[in-house]
Amino acid sequence: MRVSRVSMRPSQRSMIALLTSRRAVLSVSALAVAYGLVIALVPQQPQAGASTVDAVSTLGLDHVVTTWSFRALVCVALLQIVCATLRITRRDIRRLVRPRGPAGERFEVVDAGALSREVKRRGYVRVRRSPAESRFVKHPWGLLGATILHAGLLLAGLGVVIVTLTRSVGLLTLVEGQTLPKGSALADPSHGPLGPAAAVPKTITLERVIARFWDTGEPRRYTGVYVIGDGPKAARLEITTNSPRTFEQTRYHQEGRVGYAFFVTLSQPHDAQKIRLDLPQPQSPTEPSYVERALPDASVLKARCDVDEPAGSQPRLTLRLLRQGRQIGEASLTEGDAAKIGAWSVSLDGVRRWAVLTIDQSRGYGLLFSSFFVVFAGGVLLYASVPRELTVYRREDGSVWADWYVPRFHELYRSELDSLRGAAEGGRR
Amino acid sequence: MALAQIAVLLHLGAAVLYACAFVAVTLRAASALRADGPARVLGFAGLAMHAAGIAALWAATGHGPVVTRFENLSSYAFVSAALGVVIAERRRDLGAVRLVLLPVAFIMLGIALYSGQQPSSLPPTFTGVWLVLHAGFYFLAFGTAATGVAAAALLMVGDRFKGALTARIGDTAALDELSYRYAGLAFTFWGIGMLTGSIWANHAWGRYWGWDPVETWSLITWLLFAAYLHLRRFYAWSGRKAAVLLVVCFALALMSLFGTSLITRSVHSVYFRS
Repeated sequence: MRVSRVSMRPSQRSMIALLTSRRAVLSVSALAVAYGLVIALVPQQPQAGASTVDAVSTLGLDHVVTTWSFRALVCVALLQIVCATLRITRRDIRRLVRPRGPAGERFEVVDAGALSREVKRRGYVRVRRSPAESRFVKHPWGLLGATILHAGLLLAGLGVVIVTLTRSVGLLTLVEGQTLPKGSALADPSHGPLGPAAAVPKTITLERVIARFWDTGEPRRYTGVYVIGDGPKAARLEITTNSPRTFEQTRYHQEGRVGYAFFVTLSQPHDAQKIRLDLPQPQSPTEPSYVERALPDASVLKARCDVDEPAGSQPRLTLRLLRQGRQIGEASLTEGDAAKIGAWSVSLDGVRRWAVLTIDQSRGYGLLFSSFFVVFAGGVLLYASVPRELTVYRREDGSVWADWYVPRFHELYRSELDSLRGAAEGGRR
Repeated sequence: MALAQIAVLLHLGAAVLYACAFVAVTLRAASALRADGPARVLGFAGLAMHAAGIAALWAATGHGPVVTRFENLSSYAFVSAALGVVIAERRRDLGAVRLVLLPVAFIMLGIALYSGQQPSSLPPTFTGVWLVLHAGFYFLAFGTAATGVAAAALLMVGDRFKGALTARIGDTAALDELSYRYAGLAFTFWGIGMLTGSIWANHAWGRYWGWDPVETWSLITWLLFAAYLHLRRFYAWSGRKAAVLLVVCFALALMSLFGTSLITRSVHSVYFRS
């Protein structure tokens, strides 16, 4: 069977040559560094036109990542990596299968036996052999280092593009026992051009939040127990901070934002209000958390939450009512307590935990995250496993010669060359 | 005596041994010492004591040395010193890199000890293998970058004061290649540090990249390392010119790892301000 070789058109060749030219590669690198510096030094706004400085906003310096020029640069860089990977792969495969190594340091082989022993001792592997010549390579896999490194970068780049295009992420705040139906809007939504709208993909209920603590009383880990879906197909998922769960192609991340929801009734003779005060989890028994709420009568309710979780105490809510900056009254309550603050009667009807869940329906994370292993393998092969090539061949006059070649770090392997040369010349150096 | 106190004492001992090893390497470079043996023994003793200090710290806190400023600086110092000692063992002619790497380790340990050694509990997001890999690869990236810069600095000194000094600190061509190789490894480890960090961020915060100041400076550093490697590869940059650029790369690395956490507010500041 005849195998036809896939060849590129001249236009494709010239395109690849242009994109992978040293000038193009360095220009894109320099531009990327410049953009990075702008992002680091100019405060970035979430959207265009949000800056108070017109010139900065007009030039897009305050929202660099959303400018067309930055996106174009990313596209060019990605195309460059594709082309470089193709070019380097072809080059490396040619180098791997070539019958003999390149000419490098040349020396005559007087003692073939000694050279053979030295070659074996140094771990050279014979990769090609013919009656006229033999090719030995130490670390032949190192010949693929550049290919693998660039392929890893390409995987990472493609992963980023796919995640960005299919992005669909939003936040959900739930209180224990609360259910939200499928399709409910998520807070802080963000979605890419190919991503679905950020919404609750299935009916979701937060059953409870389990908090674990260090001996010091500081939070150690939060686990949310969620029921996702309806009826018999519903699944109960335990989602812990730093251990996201994937269910039917949707990732659920338990955020570290967890706390207590206090259900409070404020009543006066002719008025009653039920309010929910969400306070963050106190960072330790000695560090309370706080929140403020403006009331319709222009007074301000300041709330504080204290709890000593390891001691098993109930969360305590302290309320302070202020009007025009002057304190009207204060009360400290646990669940079921009632008190008076100024003209208000206050009762704490219930306390439950709340938690924030990130719902992520983007695609491409697998590609992005698996690239780290490929980059690692490529980088180590390229810089720490440098191939050394030795070609031993017979000349027409019957004499045997050797060519030794190393593509990088010649001076670092000079002693290896010296020992091979010494062995070939009849005496170890 | 509590384990945490033992860890501090071991760190102090390691710092003293690194300082003594540095003195021995300096005397050797000045030809006041005939053999490199004392420097090598002191270097290994410092490393062993440092490793024991990190192990004691680990046992005392219950987590790897990746959270507080003390733990991080200790790990950075350990990798830098280890690379210096190992290079000197494998390539005696390049052992002068310890003239830079041992003071780096000594100074970092000093800052670590000075900045407080109180163990801290891990916040809920600071767990998991990805955090360990993320921090571990940055330790390697810092150590390899510091090694590259050490070789580059020696090269510049040798280039400036040609003659007898060059023979003592090593062949400039070999130093040049050493700095190139370690810059390549630093580029690789830095990239993996960013990738594993993005996995950890995704697990912890539900997003893999957020243009946080540390993330942005880290990306700039990595891109500059890439430019350095391509300049060497394509334009055959070498010697003093390449060495100067590598020093700039390292300055950016310092900015990414330490500067941004101290200057700006960032999710990464949690560990470094603690």
